[in-house]
Amino acid sequence: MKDGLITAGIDIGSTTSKAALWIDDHLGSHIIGPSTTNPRATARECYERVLQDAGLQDDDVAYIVGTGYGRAKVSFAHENISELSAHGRGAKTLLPSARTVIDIGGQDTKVVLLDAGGQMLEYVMNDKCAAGTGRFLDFIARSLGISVEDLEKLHASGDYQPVRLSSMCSVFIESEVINLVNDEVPLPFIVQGLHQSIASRVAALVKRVGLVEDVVITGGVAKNAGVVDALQRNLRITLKTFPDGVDPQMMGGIGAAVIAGEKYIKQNG
Amino acid sequence: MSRPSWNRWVSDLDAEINRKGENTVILGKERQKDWEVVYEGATGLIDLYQEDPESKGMNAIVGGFRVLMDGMFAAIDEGRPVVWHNCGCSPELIRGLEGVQTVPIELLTVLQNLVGEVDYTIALIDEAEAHGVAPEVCSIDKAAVGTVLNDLYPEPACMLYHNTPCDSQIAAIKSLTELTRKPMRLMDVPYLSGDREVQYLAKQLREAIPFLEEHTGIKFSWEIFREVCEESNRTAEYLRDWNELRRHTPCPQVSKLVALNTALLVAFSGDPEGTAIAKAFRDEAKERIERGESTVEGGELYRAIWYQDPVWFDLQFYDWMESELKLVIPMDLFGYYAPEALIDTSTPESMLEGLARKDLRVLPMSRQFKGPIDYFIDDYLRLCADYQVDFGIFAGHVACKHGLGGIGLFREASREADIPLLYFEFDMFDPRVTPVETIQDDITHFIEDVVRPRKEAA
Repeated sequence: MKDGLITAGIDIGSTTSKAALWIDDHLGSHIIGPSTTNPRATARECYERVLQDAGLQDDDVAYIVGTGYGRAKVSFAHENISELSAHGRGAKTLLPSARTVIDIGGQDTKVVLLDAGGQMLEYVMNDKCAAGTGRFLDFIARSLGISVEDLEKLHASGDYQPVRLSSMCSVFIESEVINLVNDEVPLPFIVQGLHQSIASRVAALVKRVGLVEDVVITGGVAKNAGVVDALQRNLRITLKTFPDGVDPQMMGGIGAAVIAGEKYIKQNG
Repeated sequence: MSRPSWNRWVSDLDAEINRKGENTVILGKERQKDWEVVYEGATGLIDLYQEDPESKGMNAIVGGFRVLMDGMFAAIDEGRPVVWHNCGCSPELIRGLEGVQTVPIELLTVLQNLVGEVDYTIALIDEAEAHGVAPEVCSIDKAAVGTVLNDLYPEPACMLYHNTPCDSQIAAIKSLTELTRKPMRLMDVPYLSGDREVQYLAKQLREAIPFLEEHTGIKFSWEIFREVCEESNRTAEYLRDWNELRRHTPCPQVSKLVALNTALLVAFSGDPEGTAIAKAFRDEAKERIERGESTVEGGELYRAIWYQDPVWFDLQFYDWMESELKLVIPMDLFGYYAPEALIDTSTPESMLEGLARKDLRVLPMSRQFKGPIDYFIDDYLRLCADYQVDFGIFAGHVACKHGLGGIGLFREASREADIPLLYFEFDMFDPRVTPVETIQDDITHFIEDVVRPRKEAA
């Protein structure tokens, strides 16, 4: 058994799966991999990989918490929690001044409002509509014949002149984008418009719970600087980033690992 | 003693009605299948709750509704005049005409839902929509129109309405007037609720007296009206005590009783039956507190103020919250009885002013859904503090623009008061908009994600 309290968080999302170790009060090894059609096996594989990276055995980990859409399939977890709780706790732990957490995942968007003590006070979710999610960016990028990683480069490659996309539905936006391409609208402006479209949807959610700074963004889409830029313009604030370059996509797994530590201490004193 | 199962009872009742078939017919054109079902339902519920000594309140209100139905059927048989009114119009003034039968236009829908026969309500809603009533009109108002389209209420001598608590009521009132072609008088309930507005409404109440006399053929009696107001005051005093008793932790009584309070006020204000029901509510709460009993088996874990509208289409939902989540609703917007309810019975003018004050400042919905949003929000924050709750539930009935229109301010006030708020949209009489399972999931997740961690941290 290693010294210190080691806990793990396993976040099985719709697009990616993540695992993180939390050792006493800091982040240990952590990984991100694709989600598969076998979430049970994916969870096990992610967990074994972080253990391997850290040179640890299963017995070294005191408590495991699962989260994300596939949390019920993390069969080796001691318990599971919602991704709302996980993202809120992860963000608050790494950035204690955070009050509003925006999580843009592959399949949904969530906004969590934390009170001054870091407890969740309110949340809103968009889990009914693909527009405004990571999946939306994926398939629009495919339609444009570019990779999703190219989106942020295109966003920053010219003046800021986002086209206004009028459709509310991702399927119709795709048609609209194809029309714009055929009209020879410069690609950067189309991409800026796409990001602006996501930002306006997310901003509407943020306003529903009430914007309280500091605001941070988590989830895979947080790594797209174009979306972050559009969101900052829309909300007229500067979004905070996590210290030490911690990957915002890891926040669910980190939060789950932190909560695992708290649960262990509560149960074992 | 464990409570009898409502589900089991409902299925037993269905079987019973099927067995009886045509033998169950109650005579009269207004007493069609819809009334048979609710009458049988009420009777079955009384049988159900009589077995349970802990259900004094439920038993009293269901019994009261059966008495009201008996009165309505008797009025038809005896040829007594009937006056329809709406839920914004407390019936005391109409009761000042001896022998006149009051019928709230929401009555049948309330009874259908009370006895678990929501399919009948759905059919009435669909019928109203098919007739041209806009889908965005409140479901209870659509159902009222459906009820009248089917001739399910006794023919009125006239109708007395208030243009409150909402636009939907006005739409329904217009439809009912058009359908029945009966004389109708509509009170203009002002935006504010100050003394000037009380005088304004009291003047209209006085002017309504000759209208009622003319169309019912019965002379209004100030002496009977005084007795009615005194009865209304007795009901008010019991309800005021009951409101106080429900502050107790743990909450002594089932959550769904608070949802039924508005039905009590609308149907029974000024009627000895109303006082008996209010007394039963009060006595049950008092006795259970004295015995140290909680309504939640195993003890309550969470308390919440339910704001906006109850889940009428499935009143068992409240039982589910108590048994599965250990969550109790000590008070809601429909149960809250504001302290200005007592009517000064010393003179005719003081009685009219007292009734106007009650209509403006006390009747749930009428109190909160007009005037500045501050009334609505302040009541909520006061209830949260008085009933020491862990969170609030804003159950956004989709037709209720008056509440939903202020949701941003409502959320803001909740945040400032550090009261977690769950918000969802549904339709209180139509389960097709949001199924009960979705509401159950919303509440379960909110407790898991927000309420429980906060309690644990505290």
